[in-house]
Formats: sequence, structure tokens, C-alpha cells
Amino acid sequence: MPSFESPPASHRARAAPRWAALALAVPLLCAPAIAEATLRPDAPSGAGACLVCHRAPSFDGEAFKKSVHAELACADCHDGFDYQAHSVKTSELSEGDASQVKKLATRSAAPQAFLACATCHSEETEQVQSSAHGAWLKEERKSAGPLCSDCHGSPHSILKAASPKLTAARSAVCTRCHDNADFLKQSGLSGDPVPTYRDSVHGRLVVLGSERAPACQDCHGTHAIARMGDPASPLALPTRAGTCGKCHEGANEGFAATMTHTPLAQAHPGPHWTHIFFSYLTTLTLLGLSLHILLDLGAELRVRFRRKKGQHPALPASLPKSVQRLDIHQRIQHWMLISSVLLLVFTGWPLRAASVGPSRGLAGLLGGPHLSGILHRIAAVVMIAAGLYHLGYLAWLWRKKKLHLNMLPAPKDLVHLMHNLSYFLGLRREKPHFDRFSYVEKFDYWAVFWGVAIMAGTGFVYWFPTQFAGNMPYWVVNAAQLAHGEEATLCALALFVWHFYNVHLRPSIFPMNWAWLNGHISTEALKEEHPAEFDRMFGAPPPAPAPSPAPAPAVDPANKPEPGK
Amino acid sequence: MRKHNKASLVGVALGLLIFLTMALLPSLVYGGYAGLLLAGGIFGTPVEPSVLARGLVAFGMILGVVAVASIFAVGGAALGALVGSLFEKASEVAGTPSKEPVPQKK
Repeated sequence: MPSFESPPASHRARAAPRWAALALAVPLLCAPAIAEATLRPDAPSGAGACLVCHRAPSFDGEAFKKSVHAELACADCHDGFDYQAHSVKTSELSEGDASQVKKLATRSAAPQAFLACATCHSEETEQVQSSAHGAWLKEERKSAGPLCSDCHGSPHSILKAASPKLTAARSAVCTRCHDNADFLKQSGLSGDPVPTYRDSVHGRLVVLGSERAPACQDCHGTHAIARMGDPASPLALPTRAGTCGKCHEGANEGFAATMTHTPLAQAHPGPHWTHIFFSYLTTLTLLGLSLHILLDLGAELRVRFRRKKGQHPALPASLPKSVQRLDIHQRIQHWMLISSVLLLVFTGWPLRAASVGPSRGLAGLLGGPHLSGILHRIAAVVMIAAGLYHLGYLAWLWRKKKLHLNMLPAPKDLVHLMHNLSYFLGLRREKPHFDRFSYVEKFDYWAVFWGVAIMAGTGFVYWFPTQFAGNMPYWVVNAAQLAHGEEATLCALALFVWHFYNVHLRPSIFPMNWAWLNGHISTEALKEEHPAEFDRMFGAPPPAPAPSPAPAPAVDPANKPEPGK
Repeated sequence: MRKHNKASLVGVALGLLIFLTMALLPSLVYGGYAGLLLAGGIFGTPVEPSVLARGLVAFGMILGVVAVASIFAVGGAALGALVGSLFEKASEVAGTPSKEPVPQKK
């Protein structure tokens, strides 16, 4: 009878490897089936075999299932690999292919797989190989160039070209290399294409979420991208206007010259000096206005603290409580101006400051960058209409012989300015004797004339760029575009800081000057702020009586000196 | 006018409250951006962190805050005045006494 004792050690040693082999073989044999189950039902058979080892994070099976390559087997691209023999049995390569594989190996761990792209994408592959992006595969270059996967992403997760892909995402593809300072230096590429793109109107629109503005590929091409100097490039001089014309109907060479990767202020002396001029104008103007506000505020607070009861006697009861300051026409013009300028600022500033964080959200609140553009143009028309209404109103007053020229600047305004500054600093006790319009109101009035003219004129250049570029040098268009944004900064800040302070926020007026709503100013405010006009309307107060001589000291008759002594 | 002033002041307070909660940071950022643009135009780009350039950026930030705050304040004042006048009109209509003479007892 056989014994049931433990088999001898030698038998146990021979049995252990067999059990281990069986324990390993079962899951290995079943793994392909298990892996196969994770694939799509229509996935090619055998693909699951590779998934036994090649899983996340190196290979995303879920993304592969959704990609356009999901129906391909792994070995369709990774030539020579199979599950049973995990070694490369590649077909013989031509000399050219071998040279390419050698170069591709500097950028990829699976260089030969990239040759497989040509199997299905022969046309695109040929275009890339003859493009600026493929030159590194044939020539000796300072640095390696892009692979298909650099632009399209991993071949394992490529989506259809028609899949919605944000313009911003398409632009981002190019920035990986062309916004990399080290790569630009290494490869000898010049310029700052990405920052200049982002600073252009195209780049700003893309940042704000536009799907209509062009990404890099829309102008420069895709697979057949050529160098700028290459006649085959869509941006070569003979063909550039046609490329622009894809979106800008009627684009000509002049228009095409306005859009380059050179910063506007550096493209030509005209835009350069325009930029310098407006930078100084804006800075110095705002500094001056801010200083005036601070001094005014200080004087107002000083007067408030020092004012004693009875120091400013009430006006006679016979005087009206208020007088008309703005008639209905002036108020309507003002309302049109306020509403249009506010809308212009809210719709325009996000585009001006597109790279600033809240801009995209602000543009989104207004319906996106293109709807903002439409609202901006509508507001511009309202602003221009307000200006024309005002000019018509002046003409009508002139015909009625009611046009007063009291808004014209005069030398006395400079005198009043110096007088007022002295008053702010406490060097004078009284404010200047302002008439109907002080130098502050005159400045506001003529600044609006200046601002509306600049903004409307340069705005039309932005609105109809092809027409303007066809009739004037390109640098004039660029200068106008620069001036539009820079004047907008000055207008907005001057309006909301300087004008709002003077008419609403000054302590003696706060919370509001109601004249813009009801057209009236209180008689007290009129006397305070426009005393010369008050005197003209209600008569100047009688001159203060001459101080009476001091009475002679009383003489005691008893002590009256005798005459002659 | 006194009632309008009260309603306006309430409007100003609410406007500034909304500004502080929603618009203070964006106005700082936008103002600083404007200052940076000006600094770029005056001192050249890239803007070096000199005292003057930093001062200009800070000046821009202050102006940005003041500008946006004034919009909210004035807008609040206007809305407050509007609401105040509507309430005033409504209370006048509701509380208008009868104008018919009260018959006197003989």
C-alpha cells in the first residue's frame, strides 16, 4: 500500500515549480480575454493581448475606445509587436525611412510607429514632410521638430477633426513650442509670435472665447505650413491678402500689412509715437486731475469743519428755491451720452484687457465677444447721434440768437485755476467768482468733444478696417487702433474719477447733483458754485458799507484842555 | 428733496456694498493693468520694476478702484432716488385726504 507520508523533499522541490508555473499561466492565459472584455465590442481581436501589460497611466484604454483609432489593432501601427513574441520584427526599412526613424527616435520611444501614420494619412504625411515642420527629418537642424503627436495629441486618443475644439485649444497647440523661450533660442527662431498674437485683436478675441477669430492654423496653414519667406506660404506677400480675405471680405495688400507679429507700436514710427504720445497724455492728465481732486477734497473738508453757524446766512425768501441749469435738450443729450459711454466701456474694456482674469467672464455676461462687439457698435452710434444732436442744438440756438459763447475757454479761466489752487492750499479765503461755466465744466465739455472725435474716428477704422486700409497707409490704421484703446483708457478714467467727483461725489454736492435728471440747481448751490451767474440773475448784493471811523473817545468836560494850552 | 437724499444715501451704501463684494478685486486688477500699459508706453517694454513704474501701476490701481466705486455709488444713488420718489408718489396717492368739505354741525 502506498504510504501517505509527505513526499520526499526532492519530490516536493520538483512539484513546486510546476504549481508555480500553473498558477502563473492561468491568469496569463486568461488575461487577454479579460482585457478583451474591456474593449469595444467591435475592437479588433488580439488588441486585448497588449492591454495585459499596457494599461493606465501609460495607455488610456477608455480614451482609446473613443478615439478614431479604436478599430485599429496595436500591431497596425506598432509594426512587429505581438503578444506571443514581444520583440520587434519590423519589415525592412528603406534608407529614407531608416534615417527618419533614427531622427524620430530622439523624440519618441516608438519612432517606427510614426511611419505608420503615412499608411492611412499619406497626403498629410507628405505635406508635413515637405513643410517647415518636416524639414528636420531631412536636414540637419539645430533642434528636433514636431511629431504628429505634438499637434494632434497621443495617437491613442485622437478625436475626429470635426470634433468641436475650441479655437483657444487649437492655438495652444502651437504655443507649446513657439512660446517656449528655450526652444526658440535652440532652434534659432526669431520674434515673439505668441505674445504678439495674444496682443492682437485676433488673440484677444480668442482669449475671450471667440470661435470665429482665427487660431494660428487658420492663417499659417496646417500640415503644409511653410516659412514666411516661402512663396508657398499662405502669408507670403502675393497671397496674404487672399488669406485675410477668407474672413475679411475685400481685404487687400494694405489690410494684410496691418496684421503682423510685430507689436503695433514697433511696426512703424507712426504707431510708435502715437503710443508714446497717448501714454504721456493719459498719465499726465490723470495725475493732474487727481491732484486737483485731492486738493479740492481737502479744501471742502477744511471748510466743513471750520464753518460756523450763521456764517452763511440764508438767502432771501423772495428768491426761488431752484433755477434751471440744463434744458430738456441738454438733458437728453446727456442721457444719450451717459448710456452710450457706459455701454461702450463695459463692452470694450474686456477686449482691451483680454488677458486680465475677469475679462472673459465679463464678456460672457454680455453674450460673448461678438455680441459685445455688436452692442459696442450700437452704443457708438448712440454716442455719435448725441454729438450730432448737440451740434444741431447749437445751430438752432445760433439761429434763434440764443447761443452764448460762455463755454469757450478764456484767459480768465487760467486766472481762476490759479486762484482756485491758491484757495485749495489755504492761501486765499474765497473761491474764484465763477460764472455760469467754470474752467472745470469747460474742461469736461471740450474733453468730450476731443474724446468723441478721437473715439468715433478711430472706432470707424476698427469697424471698417479693409476700407480704411485700402485708402491709407497701413501704419495709419495701426496708429488709429492704438489710439482707440489708449484714448478709451483716458476717457473712462477721467469720466468716472474726475467728472463724477466734481458733479456727484464732492462733499458739498454728495450724493448727487440732480441737474442731469431734473435740470435744476438749487439757488444756494448756484450762489456757492457760480456766484457771478447768481449775481447776474438776482442782482449783485449791495457793496459792503465802508467801515465807520472809530468813534472819538469821550472827553470829560472837566478835563477838557483850555484853548491855547 | 430731503427724502430723495435719504433714499439716495441708502442707494449709495448698497452700491458700495455690492462694489466691495463683487467689484473691488477686478477693479484693482484692471486699474493695475491700465497702469502697466502706461508704464510700458513711458518706460518701454518689458517694464522694469523701478520705483516710478511701480508707482504708476499703484496709481492705476487706485484710479481703477475709485472709478469703479464711483460708478456703483452714483448708480446706487440714482436708483435710490428713483425708488424713493416712487415710494413718495405711492404714499401720496395712498394717503391723499378727501378734499370735500366736512359738513359742519349746526
